[in-house]
Amino acid sequence: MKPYIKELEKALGKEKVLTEDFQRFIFGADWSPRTPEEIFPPDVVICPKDTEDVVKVVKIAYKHGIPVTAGGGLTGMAGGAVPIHGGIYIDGLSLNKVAEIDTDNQTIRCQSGVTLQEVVDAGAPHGLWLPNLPESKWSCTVASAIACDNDSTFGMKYGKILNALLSVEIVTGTGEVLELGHRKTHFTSTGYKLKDLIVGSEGTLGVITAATLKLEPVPDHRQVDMIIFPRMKTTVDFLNRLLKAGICIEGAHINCKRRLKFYTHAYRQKHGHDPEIPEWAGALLAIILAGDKEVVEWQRAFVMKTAKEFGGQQVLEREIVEGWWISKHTLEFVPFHQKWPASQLEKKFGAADPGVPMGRLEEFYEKFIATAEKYKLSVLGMNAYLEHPNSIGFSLSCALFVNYRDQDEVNRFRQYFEELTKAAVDMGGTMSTYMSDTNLKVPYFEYEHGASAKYMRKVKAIFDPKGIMNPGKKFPYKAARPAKKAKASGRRKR
Amino acid sequence: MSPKSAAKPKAKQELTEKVKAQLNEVETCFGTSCNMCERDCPIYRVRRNRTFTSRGKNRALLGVLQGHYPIGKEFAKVVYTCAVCGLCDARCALANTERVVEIRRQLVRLGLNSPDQLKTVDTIKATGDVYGKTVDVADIFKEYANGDTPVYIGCTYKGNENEAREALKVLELFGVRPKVGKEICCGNVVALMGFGEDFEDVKGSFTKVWPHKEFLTLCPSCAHVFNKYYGLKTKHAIEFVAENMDKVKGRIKPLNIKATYHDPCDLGRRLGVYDQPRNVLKAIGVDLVEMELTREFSHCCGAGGGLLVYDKDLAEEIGKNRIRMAARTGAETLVTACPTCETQLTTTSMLVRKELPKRVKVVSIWSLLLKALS
Repeated sequence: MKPYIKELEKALGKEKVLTEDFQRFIFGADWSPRTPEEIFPPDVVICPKDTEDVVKVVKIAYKHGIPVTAGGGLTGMAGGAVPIHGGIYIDGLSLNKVAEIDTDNQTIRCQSGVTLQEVVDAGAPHGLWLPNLPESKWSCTVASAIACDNDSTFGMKYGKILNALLSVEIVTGTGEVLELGHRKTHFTSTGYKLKDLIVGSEGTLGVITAATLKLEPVPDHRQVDMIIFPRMKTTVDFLNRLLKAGICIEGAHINCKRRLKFYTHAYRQKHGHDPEIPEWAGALLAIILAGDKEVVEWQRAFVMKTAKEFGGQQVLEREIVEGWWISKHTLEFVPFHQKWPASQLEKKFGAADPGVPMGRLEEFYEKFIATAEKYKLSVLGMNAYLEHPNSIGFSLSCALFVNYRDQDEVNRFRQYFEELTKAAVDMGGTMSTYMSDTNLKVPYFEYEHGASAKYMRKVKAIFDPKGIMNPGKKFPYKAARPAKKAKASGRRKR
Repeated sequence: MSPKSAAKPKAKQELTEKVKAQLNEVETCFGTSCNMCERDCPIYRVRRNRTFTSRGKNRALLGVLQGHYPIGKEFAKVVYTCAVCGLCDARCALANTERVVEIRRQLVRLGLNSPDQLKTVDTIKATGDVYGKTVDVADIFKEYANGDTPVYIGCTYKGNENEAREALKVLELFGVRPKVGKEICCGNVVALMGFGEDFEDVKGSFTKVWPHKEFLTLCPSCAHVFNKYYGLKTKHAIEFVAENMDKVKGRIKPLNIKATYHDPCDLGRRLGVYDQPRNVLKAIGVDLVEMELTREFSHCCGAGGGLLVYDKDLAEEIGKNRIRMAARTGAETLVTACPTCETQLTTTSMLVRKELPKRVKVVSIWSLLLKALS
């Protein structure tokens, strides 16, 4: 056993330190497209109970120059929390205490390993909820949501996690505890906004150990609808019109026709075929309105009336809409037939997550299809999630089916990923909108950031002078020892 | 005496074909990595450690099948720390709990089972009873020797004869003449703990003493095992009752109580019996309120899958969580149709009573039925 692991055991107690091969192996991969051989187990897994435990871990790591990667649900789509350089993995799930629900100020203070669904559950008795929810909310932790700056189903009203994050506690790369933010107020004009640096930082500046989040009143009524439009551009114009009119949209998702099939697993199971969508359809808008029933119904009538003016046609077969909603939010899949494994027995979902300006959505869609075809990958479809409050700002999920058992296909997926993300920058957009950079974008990080990347490195060095915090993400890792695949990984022996 | 399935030195680290055949499924779990099995897993809820979830176990097995490490003692602990309740199966499309049992068979071959498990297998084989009681069920229920409808009592109700009598009396009120005869344990726990060869022995012994091919049982686990592994046509008695409620229509005195119903894993997820007990309870005047996690997604009582034998403290923590869920409904009574769940939840209800505003009373569905029909 390595000396630093003995130190960890002594400092924390053996029950919080997992060293068995199989235990480490479990934490060596996330949801991202990779072959079963591409598992990178850490050298040791820590299950901390509080911030003090994390401080002890980081101080030992700092002393010995050992990589520290913290993770939560490990449902990341690009490998953000995978410990690619071994070292210490901090399993945040054991930091799962809710410290306070402040109903007067509508806030929650919790440890960072509380899942987003657990935040929702904690708020429910008080009529409050956290609306910044991705599909992985059952296992995505507060720390993961902050660290990878993930997407949200309800982003068009409530934005991304940054809109809810009031304050965050981190343990820096030297083991110092910092509280960053503005306590329970919603914003501040004093100092530098260091809290904002933590969002999307992927644990490269420190380990997130606690957070204060803004909660919202639970709406009484929610109406989910789908409207077919002839073009994506028309859909964008339609949404702009609704905003101009003063409609408050809780969520909006523009799906290409192919993408819908991914969300209609329950429908297909029940009927034995895909839902019928007209040939002329160029986009399917899922639109969510929420609030008092009277207000929602008035807004819905306006939405449907206006949709017709834009050539839109409401989807009247409710099972299509409900099938999408199950997949997107309620997760009430048919028992024993849950969508994820059932729909991906051969190939799995793999996506790039660029962002483009609103006027170039259609053009980028064409680029997405062409790039997928260039690398001989099968298209699953594109979805534009509107993620900025009351404006047309979207995350793009440009998804393919990837045969993850085939190294060549996984490699082609990564080439596709690079080409598409660079194309988004060329169109005045950005490489990532909800997965962050991970190790995938390291070789072309400066393609988007240019000279500012140098300042980003300096920022990292302030928080993490030895470069041990989630090394290899955003920037290359210069290890004391050569970076290599961890010991337990290797060729499969069948 | 030592169980037949126990360690064979030559078998060390030679994986069985059935374990090797798991590769495709554990790779699918790896490829999907959706983690939908985690949130409600009763073990995870107590331990908050991913190692114990289906995804964790599948990933751990993947490493074994890839040849990265052998199966060892700590790996065995994780595989045995599972109630085989099947909640993860309901949240998945893969056969996770069947895989757990298959790995356990491998563990037994490697001698990685616990002494308590060996003792339980020995006890069942020696006495025909999971608790080691040597008294014959035919002697306890002599008055039912000459009936015409065979009823299998099972080990747990054999040790709790008053409750079993309530069930038999209820069946009589439905016009049934129960026939109770010599019986031995169905061997469910032997199979679930991975003692495959010993389970075959138990089956052989059972077949020698139990002549009936079609019968009722009072225990959901027995019903499941007889249907699945013995090829017998078995029905849990509550199904029969539900189908015949019209026979007692005029006799029901509504109970007018508020209660919640706990779905036993074997009766619900494995036999698909969800509505029948609920319909019966509603028919006898029970104001039924549902707990979180019911029906296909029911939360285990903690006593399943040999967990009670392997880790009693953990099993109790799981049971306490179920009682807390019952308390949150506001009902003072929890009803179930499984003698094992009933025993486990009665115990855990006592353990957790101080933290609750009122103690949750655990009763069998037979007890309520008898009260409503007497």
